[in-house]
Amino acid sequence: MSLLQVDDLHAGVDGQAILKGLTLRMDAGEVHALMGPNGSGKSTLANVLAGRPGYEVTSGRLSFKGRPLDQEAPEVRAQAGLFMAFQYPVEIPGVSNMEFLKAAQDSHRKANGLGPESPVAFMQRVRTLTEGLALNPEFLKRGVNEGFSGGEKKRNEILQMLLLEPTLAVLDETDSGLDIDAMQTVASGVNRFRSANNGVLLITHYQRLLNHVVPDFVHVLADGRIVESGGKELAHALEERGYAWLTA
Amino acid sequence: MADGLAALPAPNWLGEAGLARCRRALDSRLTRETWKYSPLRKVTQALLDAPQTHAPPFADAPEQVRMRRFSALATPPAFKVSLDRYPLAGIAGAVAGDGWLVKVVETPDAPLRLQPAAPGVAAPVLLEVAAGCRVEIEEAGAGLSSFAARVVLLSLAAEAEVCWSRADLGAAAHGWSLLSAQLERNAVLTFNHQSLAEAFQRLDLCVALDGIGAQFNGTGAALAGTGAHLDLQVVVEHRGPHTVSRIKQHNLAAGKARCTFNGRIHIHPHACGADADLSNRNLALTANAEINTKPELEIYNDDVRCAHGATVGRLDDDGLFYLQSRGLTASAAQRLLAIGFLRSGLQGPFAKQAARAFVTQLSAANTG
Amino acid sequence: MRESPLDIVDQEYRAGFTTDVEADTLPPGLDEGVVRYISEKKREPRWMVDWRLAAYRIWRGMAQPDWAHVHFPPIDFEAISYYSAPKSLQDGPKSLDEVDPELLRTYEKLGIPLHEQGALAGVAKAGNVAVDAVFDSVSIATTFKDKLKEAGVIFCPISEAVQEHPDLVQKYLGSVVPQRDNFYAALNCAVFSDGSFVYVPKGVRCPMELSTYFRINERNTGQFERTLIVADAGAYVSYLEGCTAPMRDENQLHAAVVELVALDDAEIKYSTVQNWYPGDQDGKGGIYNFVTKRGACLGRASKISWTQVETGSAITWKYPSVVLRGAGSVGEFYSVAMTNNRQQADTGTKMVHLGPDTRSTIISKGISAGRSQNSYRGLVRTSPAARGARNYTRCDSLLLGDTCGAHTFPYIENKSPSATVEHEATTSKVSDDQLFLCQQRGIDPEKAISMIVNGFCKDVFRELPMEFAVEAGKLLEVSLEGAVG
Repeated sequence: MSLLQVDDLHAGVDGQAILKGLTLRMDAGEVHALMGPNGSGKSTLANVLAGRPGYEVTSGRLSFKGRPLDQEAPEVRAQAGLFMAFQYPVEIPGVSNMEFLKAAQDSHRKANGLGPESPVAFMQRVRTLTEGLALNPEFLKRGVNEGFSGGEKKRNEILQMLLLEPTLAVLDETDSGLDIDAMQTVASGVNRFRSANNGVLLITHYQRLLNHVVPDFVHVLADGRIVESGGKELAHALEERGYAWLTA
Repeated sequence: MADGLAALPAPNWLGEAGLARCRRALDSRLTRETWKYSPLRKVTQALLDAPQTHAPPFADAPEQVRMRRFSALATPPAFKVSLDRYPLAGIAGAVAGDGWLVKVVETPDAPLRLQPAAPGVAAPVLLEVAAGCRVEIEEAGAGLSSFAARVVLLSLAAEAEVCWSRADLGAAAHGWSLLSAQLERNAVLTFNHQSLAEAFQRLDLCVALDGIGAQFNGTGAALAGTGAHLDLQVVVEHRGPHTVSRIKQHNLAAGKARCTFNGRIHIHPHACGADADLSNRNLALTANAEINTKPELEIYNDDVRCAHGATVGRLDDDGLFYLQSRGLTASAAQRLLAIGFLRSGLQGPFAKQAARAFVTQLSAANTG
Repeated sequence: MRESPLDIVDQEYRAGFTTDVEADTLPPGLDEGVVRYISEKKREPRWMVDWRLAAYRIWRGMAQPDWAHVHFPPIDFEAISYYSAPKSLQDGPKSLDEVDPELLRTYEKLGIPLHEQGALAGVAKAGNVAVDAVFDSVSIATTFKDKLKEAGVIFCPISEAVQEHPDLVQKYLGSVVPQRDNFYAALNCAVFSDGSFVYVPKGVRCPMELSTYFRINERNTGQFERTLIVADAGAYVSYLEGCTAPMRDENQLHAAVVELVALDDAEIKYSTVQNWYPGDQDGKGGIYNFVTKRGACLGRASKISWTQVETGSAITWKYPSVVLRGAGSVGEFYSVAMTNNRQQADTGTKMVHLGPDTRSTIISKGISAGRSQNSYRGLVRTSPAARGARNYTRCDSLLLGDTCGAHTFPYIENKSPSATVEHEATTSKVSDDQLFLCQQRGIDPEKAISMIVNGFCKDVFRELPMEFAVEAGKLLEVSLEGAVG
């Protein structure tokens, strides 16, 4: 059974078709990179997978660990192990990051029939993760993403991924807007995360991140469809030649 | 009731019913509230006692501008203003007896100059700007020491744009005026107002953003010297979706003055995506100044962005010290900061002239 | 996918039960005879009767205020009963053992500890809070009186204070909210039946939190309690107030007056969690909460702090205020007002700066949902003598849904040239993006909304005593339920 199976997916926003027959299959233990020019539908795929309201699947099939996704509420998908790192994480003033992380983890545990983790154990785990991502522990007390720099917001996404231990992590342009140090921190977080039991879908515009997180497969998305798939060398070819030769 | 109000005849474009409504509204809770800091009775009486003036609002109007007296029209024009909120508009209209219907049918080549208000109650002006036209209007106060009142009802058709600049820099000017504007789809009204007051000046500004995407930008700076009783009342009604308002008003009191600002933003139920921002800052340089401000919000839609701020304060001590440490005298430092404060509320063609007038006034006042 | 994240089943108002006790209730209507009757019931001295009658005559000549942003049919003051007491309390219980067990059960059900031993769940643990419980028109029990007495603190029903401490009552009653202050205050002065009296002597820090719990039970009665708290020089007291009422189809009037007096260096912290019955979804029934609360910082460097969490009442008309007379005195107002369904709230504060270097802070958080209307109304006034006065106001509104209203009416009147006044207001909603982020992390929408609303209120909740903060958070959650997204 595949971790993720997408068959001939047509989807869009506000009646505008964006994905036009996308097919993709991922197994546990794999890292896939999804690349493509702006507007090709990369973020749409991430949002459709996560079940963002407003994104509509018009045809095709979508299954996660063998179960169809299209009718599931976003929180149910999340609890089942589907994680999305946001391109633009939103701020939630007044709700502390710690409180938010705890609520998120509790919900995942509850869905798996577990009670909340002891606060002390939880705190220790979160602190260890924060240090690993070079985040100031103070930031746990601040409101979710409130006043965070771009880099802090992205590292916060990775922190949540590491904490919630999903089976599929979809990283939507997590590398955009990061300086080289932040990029390396994020990359090492992803490398720490990847294992034989989970999968990572890296959505990116640039090849840069793939120097640090080496993918097993690279796909090129253009006009709502995967037009080319290959190994990591495909990313290098894209870096040298751009996207135009693929879509021409 | 003020003397003469009962006997006032109603012109046909207002009607007996309209005038009766104004009389009633003079005693309403709403009127008491909006005139909380100004003498409504005195102003009403001044309106009734003042002479009427029927001079055309624009001299040498270009061909793109058509002016007709109400009395010359076959059917009376619709006098579109809320008489419940602005009863004085009806009373002033009745005192004047006649009015002017002005239509801007195409974009004029040059700014239109509104004739300075003559002493007395000017004939109300209905100013209609046709779709897509762009008009600049300049209104310079005459600085008369006698009471002057004027009502302008402005309507902007879709995509029309009006940039209205007003300067009341003759310190003796005193009076009341109303500018009520109604904006259709994507119309834009920009209103710059600068005022140097040493007497009673009351301005009511009412902007109805009816059409989708209509926008209002209001910027103002006022220097209130001794004897000033400055009262600015701004109401913005966001009725259409995605309407935008930006209001910035800086008031400075230097001398025994009373400065009042009321900024009211009303977001109606269907105005989704409305975006309103209002900032009113006030400084008092002297001990006997009084500053009142009331930034109101009334919101009936959750899909909005509204921010409001009002401050009352004094000159920044750190700023004063910094300037003094660079060799300025205390009074020069104070003047400089005061001008800086006012300047950030200046915009439009009168900005330079206003800045000069403010400097002169502050130097003469020798507030240090 | 789910249509609206918030459309979940309404939870019932938890305090909405009635207590079946025999009551001695005056027939509806108000005249001088009623005022005299109440006074006689309380065996009041002559000066008290005269004071009430003077208030009654003033009230007769006054009109109901019409300026608030609330709408309701005119109240028939002749249809209200102005006095109701459980029969068993006719002669006043001497100890808790004499109190009708039915009444004790009422408070137990509400989680209010009237037994000094044994910690009960609910608003507070019995060990650190002294409670005065007011049921309709009378105080039924006051706990920990002896322990407080040791510290010199007087905490008793105001009817008892009129007998036992007439000098203090006569000196301060009406000194902050005079008889002619406003329509509802005048009415209260005439007919108030009970309430709490607190006096903390010089230099004493009250050893425990004091609390009054108000309960309206009887049908067609009004509740008119009167609270007077005096903190003498250097004293400190923290006071909590809670309120509930049964669910009834008709509206009931609650017109209380609270007066606080802080002398030199004294501090009074007054917290309210107001959970009067708000009426049903269609706006039927519920309490009209028309309350006058005001504190006077008479002494230098004195401080009065109001914290309120308002989730109940059909209509709230309430402006806990501070008159800052003493040099360097401090006034604070922290408020969360949540309205849902057809509730209307017009609430805020007045900070009147009279003395030099006085400071005030106002933090107001309004949450509107359903078809409710929620207004902040505030006044910050500085007099010419208030040199160096400072005020900071922050006024935030959160709208849940597009059928409710959120309004802000702040008046700033400044006559002090060296004062600094800052007012900021914002309006926001729970954005789809915020909701989606939470959902993507596995948090269901109800929990997400409640987390976000709690975060929005955080600046106010942290001013509440611990036990109350927890209760306030829970109350908010209940009030939020059924809020249409």
